[in-house]
Amino acid sequence: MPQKSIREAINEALLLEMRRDPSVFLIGEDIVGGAGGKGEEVDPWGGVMGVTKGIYGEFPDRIIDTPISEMAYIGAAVGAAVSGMRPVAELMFCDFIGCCLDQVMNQAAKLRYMVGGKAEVPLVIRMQMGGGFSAACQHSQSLYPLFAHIPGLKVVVPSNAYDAKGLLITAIRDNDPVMFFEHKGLYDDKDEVPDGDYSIPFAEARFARDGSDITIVATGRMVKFAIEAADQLASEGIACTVLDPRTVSPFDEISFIESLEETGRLLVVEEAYPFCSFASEVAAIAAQKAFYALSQPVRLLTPPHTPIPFAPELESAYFPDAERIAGSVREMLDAAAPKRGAAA
Amino acid sequence: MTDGIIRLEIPKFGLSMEEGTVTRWLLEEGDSFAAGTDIAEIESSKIANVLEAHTAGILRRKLVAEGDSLPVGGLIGVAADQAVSDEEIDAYLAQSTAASGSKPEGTISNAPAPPAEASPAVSKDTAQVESSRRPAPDTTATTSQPAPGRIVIPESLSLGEGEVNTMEVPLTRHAAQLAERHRLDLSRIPGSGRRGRVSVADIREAVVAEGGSLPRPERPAENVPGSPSTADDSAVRATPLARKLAREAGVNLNDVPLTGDRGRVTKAAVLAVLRSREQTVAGGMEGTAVAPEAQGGPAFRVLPFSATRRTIADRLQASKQTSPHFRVSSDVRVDELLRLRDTLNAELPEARVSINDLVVKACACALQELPHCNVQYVADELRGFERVDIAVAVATKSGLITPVVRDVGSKTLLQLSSEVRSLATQAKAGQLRLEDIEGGTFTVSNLGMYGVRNFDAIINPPQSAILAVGAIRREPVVDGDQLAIGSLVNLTLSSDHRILDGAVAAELLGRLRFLLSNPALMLA
Amino acid sequence: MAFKKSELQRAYRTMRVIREFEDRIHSENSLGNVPGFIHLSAGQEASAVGVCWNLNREDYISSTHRGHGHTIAKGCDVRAMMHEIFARASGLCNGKGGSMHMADIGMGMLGANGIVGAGAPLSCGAALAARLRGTDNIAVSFFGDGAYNEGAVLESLNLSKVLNLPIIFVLENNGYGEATPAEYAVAGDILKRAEAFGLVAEETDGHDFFAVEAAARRLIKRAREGKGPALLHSKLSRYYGHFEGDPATYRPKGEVDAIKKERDSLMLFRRRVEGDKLLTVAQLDEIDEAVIAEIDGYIVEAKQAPPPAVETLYRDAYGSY
Repeated sequence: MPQKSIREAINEALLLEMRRDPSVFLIGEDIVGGAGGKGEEVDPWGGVMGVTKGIYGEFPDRIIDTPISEMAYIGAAVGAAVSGMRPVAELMFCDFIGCCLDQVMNQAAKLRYMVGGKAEVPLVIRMQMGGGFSAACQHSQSLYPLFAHIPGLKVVVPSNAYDAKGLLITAIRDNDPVMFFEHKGLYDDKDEVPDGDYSIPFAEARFARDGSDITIVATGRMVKFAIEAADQLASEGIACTVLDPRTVSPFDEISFIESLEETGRLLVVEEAYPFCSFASEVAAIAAQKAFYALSQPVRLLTPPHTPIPFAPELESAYFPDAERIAGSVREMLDAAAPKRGAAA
Repeated sequence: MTDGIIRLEIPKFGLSMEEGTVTRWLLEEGDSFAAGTDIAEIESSKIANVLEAHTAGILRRKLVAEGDSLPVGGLIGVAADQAVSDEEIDAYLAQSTAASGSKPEGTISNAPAPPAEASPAVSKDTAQVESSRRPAPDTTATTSQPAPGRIVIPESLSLGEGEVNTMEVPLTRHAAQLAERHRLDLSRIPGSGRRGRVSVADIREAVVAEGGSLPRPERPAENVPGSPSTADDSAVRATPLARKLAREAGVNLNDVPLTGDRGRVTKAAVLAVLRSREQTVAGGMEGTAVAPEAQGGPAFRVLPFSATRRTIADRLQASKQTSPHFRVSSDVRVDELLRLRDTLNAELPEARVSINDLVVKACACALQELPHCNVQYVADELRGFERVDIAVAVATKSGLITPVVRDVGSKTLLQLSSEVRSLATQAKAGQLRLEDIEGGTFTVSNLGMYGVRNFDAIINPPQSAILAVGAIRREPVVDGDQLAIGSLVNLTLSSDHRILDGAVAAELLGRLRFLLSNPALMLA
Repeated sequence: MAFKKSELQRAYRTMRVIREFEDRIHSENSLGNVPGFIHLSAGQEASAVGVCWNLNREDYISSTHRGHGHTIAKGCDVRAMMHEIFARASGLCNGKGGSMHMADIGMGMLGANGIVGAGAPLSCGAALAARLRGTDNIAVSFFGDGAYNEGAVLESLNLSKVLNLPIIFVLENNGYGEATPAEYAVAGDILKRAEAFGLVAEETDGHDFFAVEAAARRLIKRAREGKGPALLHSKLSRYYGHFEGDPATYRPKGEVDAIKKERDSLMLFRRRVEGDKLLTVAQLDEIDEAVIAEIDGYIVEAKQAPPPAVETLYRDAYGSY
């Protein structure tokens, strides 16, 4: 099977869906790049990360560059979705949501509910997230918990190319607004990706590793690190389950609880801020629905509750990595063993 | 039951035995045996024993592998004579597994080994599959319910021989594994998830609806919460004083609750943690709750927690939780007792009488004289005994063992002494049989050899009392109007107040004291 | 444009329905019979009906928090609207939206909106969808003088021109953004601001159905022909406060009374059609009576209708989850 990067996988998913369904169109800033300009290339950028490059050639009318006006074009995507199209808008960086949050939070998310179910909003908003590039406070955030908090939105956080393609196809075909998060540090990560179209259902977690000692829940880039940690720990005789929920909302609670019932331990690794986060939600679900399956307290491994720093030294201290994940697992297992004998 | 077929089951070696492990098969399939032949070694949490044949026969089927654990009554094999055919045995197994109501509760039985899944080894579930190929004989509604703890997949949900699931059914990962392991026909199991996705809970529900059973896998209980952290605590907010104190005392700030309106670790909180640590250390005789070292390295090692240890923990905890302990204590002058012992040991070549032997003897005399103290409390039932059986606490490497000396009253001091020694030796070698440690109404526990002055002991249920014997002390005593040097021993009697009132316990202790200070009376 | 008699009757009737709808809700609300926040558009009827006069069912409008008039003018079910006002299961939004979210996507009504200016991007999207589908449908965005200072509206003006969208921005300037006068809050010239984005901009008397209809017709025709977006500045007045319960003490004494006396949209309509002998007083009075009875019937019915079942609480957040 061909090896493709996440960038290629997403591009392929977009093209396949545009060919399949004429109501699918793309809208965003510089997703063509240089529209109306006099440059030599027809689509010089294809998005700031080159994800939509090459689509213009096949669908010049259905990939639309906009002014830098997030409120207007994200709102236009919502309006187009309500009136029968299937827009895929690109917000570039999820950090920019502040410029258009109303259209996402108050319009897209609520429309169906406000009108008693008599509207559909088949909208996808693609955006980058994640740190690791010294992009500092306003270009490194992983804001998916912000959206998972809002009823009416679905939130997808793929961790690999195969999932990215299948999940994006599902997102485009879904009749609800979907926030699709692409980690900027994973675009070049390659995976086996079939050429044809396939979809991955929402709320079905992927078990990236199977092991009976502990369940590690991770999303996005943290999945990669968790897998590295699990493989390292396997050589020490510690068997980790790495559970990648793939969709944060809806969350595959069933698989999650089934895994806890098997392992009895939970470590949640997240790149997002820790407070009121997806990690804390996962811990809350464990406490509410699988408390008796747990043999020791849940542990969260997240960045500190601070903005994301610029200096590479600070940034690398900020994010969880494979070493820290492995360390947390070791500490949990060390703490797990019984220590007190019986008194006579 | 089919004629000629002999069920081989996990025996119940004693009241408290719930489960046994087949540690070794002593016969091979096809071996014939006579009555009394040892068939397999079975180990309970306390004792290793042998499964003996009651009649002659041929071992036809082993249903469990060495190392497998089953509840008491669990079928581990089948024997029969030559006349019984293999087909009859298969049919018997299929039937007997289906007719679960007729077997002891909690039995885990093995599938009659379908060719595809021949291995009887315990899987992840720690239970084994039973595929009931025919419906259970419908005696009553209750008896057709499978016993808890076993997996019974109804035939209606099982894939037939050679069948596979062809339909694409959405499944959770664990449901998929379960379906594969138990060869479930997924077209028969409705899914409750999105897109009709089938979860483990759905499978369980379908199995139960069809009269089968699929309990949750049980994981061994583990972990004692509250182990000291070793993580870096420099980021934990603390008052400067608290941080300094914690560093000096080796307390990790992660283990200290945050208090105050700023949510910081305070000095008071660190002190509270220190106090609770001290109590923990003082409370654990074996002192394993080690205070963390000031810097670096784990503060403790994880030690094995043996089955014996677990049993001790469970029984003593149960005792402390259920029987109200009432204690009376007294010093006893033992100068005469010492003289008696010395004389016996000096004059009789085979004698190696200890003070403890004499104490046990005195207890037997007292209990004979006070039969209302010679009682057990079992399941709301007060049991009185004529014969006096006394347990003696023996410390072994694997933990406390309390072998029972039977009919102490009828034994001479030398017989008693030799028997106690023998039991202690066997206990230390792990050679005690279950009947050596069960029963009795009373225990004698002696920590005198450690120089312990006095202590409280925990009653060994279902006994009524335990006597804690301290070290012999040479102390000034008032002898008539004279100050003299005397030998004293502290006796502390813990009694179960549910069955022995305070005054009764005091009477018993008083009698003991009298006998020990006037040992000649024990000869009477 | 010459109106047929039946068209005039329909136009007057629609305006009268809006007025009666709003007046009755005002009194029901003051009796405590209506839950939630209510913003009434009495006084602004001519603008709503005049703009929507030339729209098809396939054209989309987005509205404001003051959206009853637009919803009625776009042809939505008035009975269901009244039931929605009373929070009934039989309401236009099944009791989930209320006054502020009155919407009927199937009728091309993208919704009243609780967020000032939020409808403008939505209408841009509807216009973009129409263009991508190759139809000649258009979209209208109603908003007020307050929203004209919202980034969402200003961004939309720019986007509409950049993408040459078939959209009409209808600025209904009733003089007050909440309590703040437009003279205070809107800097510069209203028409020039739109013109600066390259839009065609016109001003009209929002009290006069015929003036609004004529202006809107021109702009809508342009848009259908692909000639791009436009702004219509419709100057008008509201009779009630910003919200129900607002005594509107920020308005000069007698302001509303004077408008009612001199510039009332229904009065202007009657004066015109009576003067031109297009409809008789009796015909118009008959419409009034019929409308009063109709709205009264809806209210009686709505009060008795059952509220939504509690189970419906969990429905409609997602198509599937």
